[in-house]
This record gives sequence, structure tokens and C-alpha cells, in this order.
Amino acid sequence: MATTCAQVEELLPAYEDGDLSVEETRRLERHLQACPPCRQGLADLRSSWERLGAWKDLEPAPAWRQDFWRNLGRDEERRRLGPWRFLRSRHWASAAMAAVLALGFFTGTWWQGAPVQPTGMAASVLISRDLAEIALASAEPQEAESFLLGEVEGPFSPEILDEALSSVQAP
Amino acid sequence: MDEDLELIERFKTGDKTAFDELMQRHYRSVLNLIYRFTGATGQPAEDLAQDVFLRVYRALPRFEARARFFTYLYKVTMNLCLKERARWARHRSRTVSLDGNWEDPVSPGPRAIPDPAGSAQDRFERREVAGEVREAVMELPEEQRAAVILHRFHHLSYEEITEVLGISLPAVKSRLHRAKLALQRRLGEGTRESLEEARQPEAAG
Repeated sequence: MATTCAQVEELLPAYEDGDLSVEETRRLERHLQACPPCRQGLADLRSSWERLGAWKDLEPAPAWRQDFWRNLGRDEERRRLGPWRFLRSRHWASAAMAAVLALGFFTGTWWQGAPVQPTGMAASVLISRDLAEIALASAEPQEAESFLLGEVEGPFSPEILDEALSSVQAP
Repeated sequence: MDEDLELIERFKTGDKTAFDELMQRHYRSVLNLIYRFTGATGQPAEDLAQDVFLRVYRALPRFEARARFFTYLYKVTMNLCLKERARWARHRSRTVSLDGNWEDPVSPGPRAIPDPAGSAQDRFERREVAGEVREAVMELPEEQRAAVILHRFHHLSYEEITEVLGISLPAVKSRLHRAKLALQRRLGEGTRESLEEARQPEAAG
């Protein structure tokens, strides 16, 4: 059976790995002998793999070890304070404002006598969104983000926060 | 017993210096796995590497010596890279600026190793090649890129890559084969066109 250049090209990596059958190897080598471009292809396969070595390593930051032990200390402190720790930090302001907003929203809904069923979900999403916006606006970006993504526990379930985020991001 | 496992045993008995030693053995390679897989450099890359070791620190008391430590470590790293990328993508859709380089395959990292001495022309050419290589690898589909980085830069065997990526041996081979072909086309000496021209439709039997 004739072996085309395209077939050979596809088989070259497996050939390099010694993964071809005896028969396939024999056919491929016969083709390579007769076909300079495919020999060049094999040489390119090897040289391009070698060339990847030009991509040099990053050097770690000089203080990475100190950073680690400091981060660990902070992490342990957060764990010690528990899930409501955010109330002890600057997040309390976000929570208070969100509570006021939520109250206002429900009062408004009730006052207007809007249908209860469909707005139940909408209300929770909207309130969550407000929470998200407020948290993002008032806290340090990274903290707010961790909080919103449920990585830092708060009084709001990750599901609600996720829903809040996706509703914020909806075009 | 291998040195990592000895350190882990010491750490399990409460010796924190053993963890410090373990990190010193592996921090650089974790940082560079992150760098090459995500394109992150500087603070975002360091933060991610720190996060990997924080998680490992928490999980290590439950680590069982059945697995090799470094495959476990790389697995944690890869998972965290994927999670972090999703997070950054979501974050990016909300904000306009990022305070670090993320997924920026072209610009050399702020702490990339300076080129060794040589003529300006040499240095320039080396940087060109490095940039080209970086771009070529970053353009590979994610699953091929992961296999290439683990195999070429971290010298993992196919078997070890199956452990890290949680895929079969044929899948590892197929990803690497496709990646090698793509890199050959992108980085090989003879350009694609000249090869195509030189080849006859039925060159040989």
C-alpha cells in the first residue's frame, strides 16, 4: 500500500515515540528514504521540540518563603474568627446597607401589591445583586471578590452570590 | 523512601520546617507550571503558587503515600489554574483593568531570567526565539498545552502525565502527538509552504 506524505506526517510523532508496529515502521522508513521533504518534516519535528527550551523559567520572588508563612498566618487567623468574621471587618457597612435596601425593596413590593410568586425570585436576585455591587464598591476588590465567590464564608450562600454575580454580568 | 515522602512524614508529626523544605524543593516548578500554562507572571503567578502551597499545607496531613507527591502537587496546581482562570474571566467581564499580566503570552515576564551575556544581536535573537516559542505553546489548545508543558518543561513521563491530568495513556499520547505536529508547523525550520511545494502528491511508495 502506498504511503502518502500526509499519512507519514501524521505518523511521525508516534514513530518518534516508537509506537508504530513493525510493519508501519518499515513502510514509513522506506518513505522517508525516498522523500527529502518528509525527512525535513522529521527534522523539524525534533528541532521544534528542542526549540521550546528557549522559553526560560520565571525566577520566584525573592521573599516567596516569607510571603508563604505570612499568608498562612493570615489564613489561620481567618479560620479562627469563623464565618461571621466579616461582620467584624469593614464588611459590616456593606451588610447594613444591604439590609436597608432589602427592607426597602420588600416594603416597596408589598406596598404596590405586586404579585408575590414571580417576584420572590426576582427580589432575591435583585437584592443579591445589590449586595454584590455594594460589597464590590465598599470593600477591597480582592476581598469582595473572594466574598462574592463564596471563598470567604459570609451569611449568604454561595449559590445566591453566584446567582447575583451572573445576574450582574448578564449583558 | 523518597525524600518528599520523608519530609511529608516529618510534617505529619508536626515539624513545620519539613514543609518549608518541601516547598523549597518544588516552589519554582509550581510557579513555572502556572506561568507557562496560564501566561500569568509577577504577582498573579506568585499568588497562585502561594495558594497551591496553602492548599497542600492543609491537605497534606491526609496525603497517602500511594501517590507520588509531585504528581499530586501538579494536579492541585493545574486544578487551581483552571479555577483561577475562570474566576479571572468572570472578573474581567466586570472590570476594565487588571493589576497584573494574565494570559499575556507575548510580553516577557517582569522576572523572566535575564539573558546571559552575549552580543546585543545574540540577545535580541534569543529573545525573539523565546517569544516565538511562548506564542506557539500558548496558542495550543489548553489540553494539549498542559501535556506539552508537563512533558517538555517538567520532564514528566507519559504515565506521570496520566496521573496529573487524570486522562488515559492513549489520550496523553494523542494530545502530545497533535501538539508536536502543531509546533512543528509553527516552529520548524522548513516552512510549511516550502514543504508543500517540495512534496509531490505521491512522493514515494
